[in-house]
Amino acid sequence: MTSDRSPEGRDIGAAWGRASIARIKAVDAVRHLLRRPRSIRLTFRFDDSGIRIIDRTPRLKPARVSEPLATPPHPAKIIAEVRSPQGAPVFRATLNDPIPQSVEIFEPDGRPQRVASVRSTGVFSVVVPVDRRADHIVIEAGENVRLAQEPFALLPEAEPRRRVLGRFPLRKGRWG
Amino acid sequence: MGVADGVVTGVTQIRDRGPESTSWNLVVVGDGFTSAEQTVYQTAVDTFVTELLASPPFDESIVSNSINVFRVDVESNESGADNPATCPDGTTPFGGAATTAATYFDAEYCSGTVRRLLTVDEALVVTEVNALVPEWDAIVAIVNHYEWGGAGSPDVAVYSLGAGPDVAIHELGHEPFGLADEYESYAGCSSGETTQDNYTGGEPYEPNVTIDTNRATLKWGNRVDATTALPTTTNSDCTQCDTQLSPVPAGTIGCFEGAFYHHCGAFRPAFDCKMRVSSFDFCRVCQDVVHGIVVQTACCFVATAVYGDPWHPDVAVIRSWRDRHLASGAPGRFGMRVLAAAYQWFGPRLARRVLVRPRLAAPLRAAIFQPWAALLRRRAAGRG
Repeated sequence: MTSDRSPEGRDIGAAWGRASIARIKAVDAVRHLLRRPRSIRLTFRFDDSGIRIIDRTPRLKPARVSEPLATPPHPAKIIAEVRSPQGAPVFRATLNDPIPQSVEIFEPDGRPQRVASVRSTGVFSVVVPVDRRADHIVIEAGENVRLAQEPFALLPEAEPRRRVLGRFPLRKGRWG
Repeated sequence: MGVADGVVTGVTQIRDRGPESTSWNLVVVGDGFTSAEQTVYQTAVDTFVTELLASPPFDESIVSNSINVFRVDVESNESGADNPATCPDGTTPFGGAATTAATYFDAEYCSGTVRRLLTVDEALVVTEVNALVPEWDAIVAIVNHYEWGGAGSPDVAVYSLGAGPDVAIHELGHEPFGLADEYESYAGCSSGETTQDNYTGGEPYEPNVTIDTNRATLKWGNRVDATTALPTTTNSDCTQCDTQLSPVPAGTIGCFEGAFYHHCGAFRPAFDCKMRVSSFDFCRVCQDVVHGIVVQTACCFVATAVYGDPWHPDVAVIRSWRDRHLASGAPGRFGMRVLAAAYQWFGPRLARRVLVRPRLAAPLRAAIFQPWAALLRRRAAGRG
């Protein structure tokens, strides 16, 4: 990797600022060597057969703070929830349309509109914290989420409620 | 097709504002650029970054000083993208001729729907970027083709050279910033749609659309001037998009009916915003969201670094004060503006200093931040 510092990068040039950054980079390098990530990025792929994890990437940057675990998730959203072996929630992230049912296109004047998606495949990522309590992660859809793709589609008469779209172990390998 | 149709030659950090673990990291990838066209690609990336950093709130120094940019250099075997002769929307290719191109990320127009929908192999993009820049926060893909096109997906915003950066910046608003679309139709205001008259769902999760026009409980109530009427506009004919012009000056924050793909029943915070029309800037409410996520992701807020928890009650109180008084554009006396400028330069550096010297956190917390938060609470209680 090369690093071309732009001219405006000179404002970082305060001596103690440079020292600070150099120190963080050193700490990061040590953490890399010690393989002590603070979070894991899980990359999921979905298609007609369901959801699966295609990549697990350790990160030094912490995951974003969990959403409140005591309050129920939003009924119109899909969430990712890390749970303990007993099923207790440890971490929750609300995902922004991870399995899109429509796509956005733009007029040349910048006005967007949506068209139904004909693609049944895609990827999305979730960054979860490294946590000793973590056992598995659940991808769960709220009662107002409507998904056309098999095997996620709800039958019309099905009782609307939160439903699990996928459950994945996190203890496989060093970082889950 | 795919990885056989090109090669990743490396990654170049074109903007360095600090370690990746304490910065917001944007990664740009290209598709359909041959080895001879790498200069074109580099220029396109520079143009995108320049436009992004000129777009509020990315132009605020505390935000821009939190952003690193990485360019993934990819040489495709052939130039351009797949652009079929026919498409379900009945259009023909720009210039009349269909094109096929062997490119690394398999960029293609149409994708079974409309020609302007331009997609890439997102799984390949994400796995490549995971390996090259594991600390990435957002990915933008630029496709070397002059047909207008673009798309957003959960992880990758795509646009063609023919479309320009505005499309991708709008898509970044969705992911990673979690903003909703503010436009008031699904298929377009002239489509004759009949299913989008009234929004009947509950309060949306997203921070920039609402069904609540109560000043006391409105999500963005802190940004609404006391003299601004709520709702600020209403749509008198819910069978179509509201055609009235804005009754308030540009940039006014209020509640404007028509949002979240519906003509009525859902409100947006500003008459125009990048989440409504991509050629506009983000409105102040969306700017607040972007600002907060970039700065928190980059750990550049001093109080967050000192407490180690962005949601600590003291941090919330101080953040609220900071957003009112130290954010760019906040009103205030000359002295406060000087303080704001000093904070925007000094804050990220002090935060990083604390991160590498955790022993600084406790004394700073006890000597400065806890008394400060207590003072702000007393003042708030006094006003209440």
